[in-house]
Amino acid sequence: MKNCDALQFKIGARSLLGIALSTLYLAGCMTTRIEETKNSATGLLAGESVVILEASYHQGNTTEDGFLDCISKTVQKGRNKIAVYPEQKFVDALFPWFEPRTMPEGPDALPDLMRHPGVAERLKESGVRYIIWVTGNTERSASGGSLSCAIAPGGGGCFGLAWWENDSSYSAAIWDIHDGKSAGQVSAEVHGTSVIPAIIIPVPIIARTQAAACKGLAGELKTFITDSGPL
Amino acid sequence: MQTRWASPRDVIRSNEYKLVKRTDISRPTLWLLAAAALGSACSKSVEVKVDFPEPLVAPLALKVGLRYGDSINNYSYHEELPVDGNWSFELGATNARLFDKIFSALFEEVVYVDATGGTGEPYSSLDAIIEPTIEAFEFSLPRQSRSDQYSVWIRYNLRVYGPDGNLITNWPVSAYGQADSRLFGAKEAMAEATINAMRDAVASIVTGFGKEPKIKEALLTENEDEEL
Repeated sequence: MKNCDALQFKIGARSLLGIALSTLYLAGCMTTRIEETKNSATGLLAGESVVILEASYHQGNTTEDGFLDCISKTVQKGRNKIAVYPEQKFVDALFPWFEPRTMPEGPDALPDLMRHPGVAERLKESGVRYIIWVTGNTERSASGGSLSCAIAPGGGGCFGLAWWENDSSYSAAIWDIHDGKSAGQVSAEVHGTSVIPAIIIPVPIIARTQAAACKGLAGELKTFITDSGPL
Repeated sequence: MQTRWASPRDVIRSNEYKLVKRTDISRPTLWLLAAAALGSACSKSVEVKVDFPEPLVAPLALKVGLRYGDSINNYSYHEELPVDGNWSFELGATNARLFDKIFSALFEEVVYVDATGGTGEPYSSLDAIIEPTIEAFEFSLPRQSRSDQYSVWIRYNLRVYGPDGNLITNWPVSAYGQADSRLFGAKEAMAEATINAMRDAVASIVTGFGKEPKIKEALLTENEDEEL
């Protein structure tokens, strides 16, 4: 999926000023890629929910807390919306078995986890059917340009052009607690270029790659969970 | 549709400093502004007050005495960083609450004791006495780690004694926690990282107690160490 807003550099300063005044910021150029792998049929019954957890930072995962919040809020809205069990409530109810040090590393570890006293009961009480493990992050892959701003008694302004590229790469592994195995995986990769050209007034043209990844991943997750699929 | 950007250097080379002019802000005003900015950045006090959830674990058939020293009852840490100002951590009795939660879940019965062993009650009815301490506390800021994370390391030491006061083992427990700087302010993120480190200590102790060789040998039967 590709969504590019072309920027014309050869437009006059007056036109640029008009654009700057009429828009707070424009969307930068982004390329989004969503992939899904499904291993088994899915679906949620009434009263069932999913919990969305961040994979352990003990294993080097650096998923931003804000991204998890975004996914959680987005999957609970719109068509095919799914019920999400609160992450902190889930982790506290099963303390300390879902702490970064102790959380299961793969669906194969679920039977061992269930053997701990009270764990299977708490999971059943929660109504959580799927655990969704989110990994990945957003990184700045390149940047350049220069932007200078100055202020003086008579006014101020900026001149120049700064740009940067962000890569947002996230994946969500879905474990089916009932079956004790992986139901599949969904991933989203978004590459975007942001630019701030400035002739007196800076005009930020921002590629919000993380927001696009959140929207893409959440949308695909909703379909993955609610659509039982051809399997 | 693909966009090819003009080289920014070409645009900037001749014009970069054209708009930079000298401002008329007076020198005393600048000093005042700088002092205000420095004052707000110089000192950060992190207060950690939290209740931990009950650990989900089957209790071992042991009666254990707990002895908390000052580092557990009222811990504070202070460090002056050359660039990042003064950081102080007030953990108060949070560690005592943490160990209360761990040990009351981990053992069938716990009592508080004044010494690390003795004769007569309550020592004669105890299986062991545990004295936790904090040996080291470290933290790092996003600027230092070149990441978006505030991080905290706490090294606890659990001294485990027999009821007669003989040391069974010194068990060091390293705990780590981090928190995202983008979701919280600096103080709040550091407090969150500290809480996460303390929760990590619980995870270490609950999963590691039965595996620590000297504890296993002195206190646990074969079935009990497999339960943890």
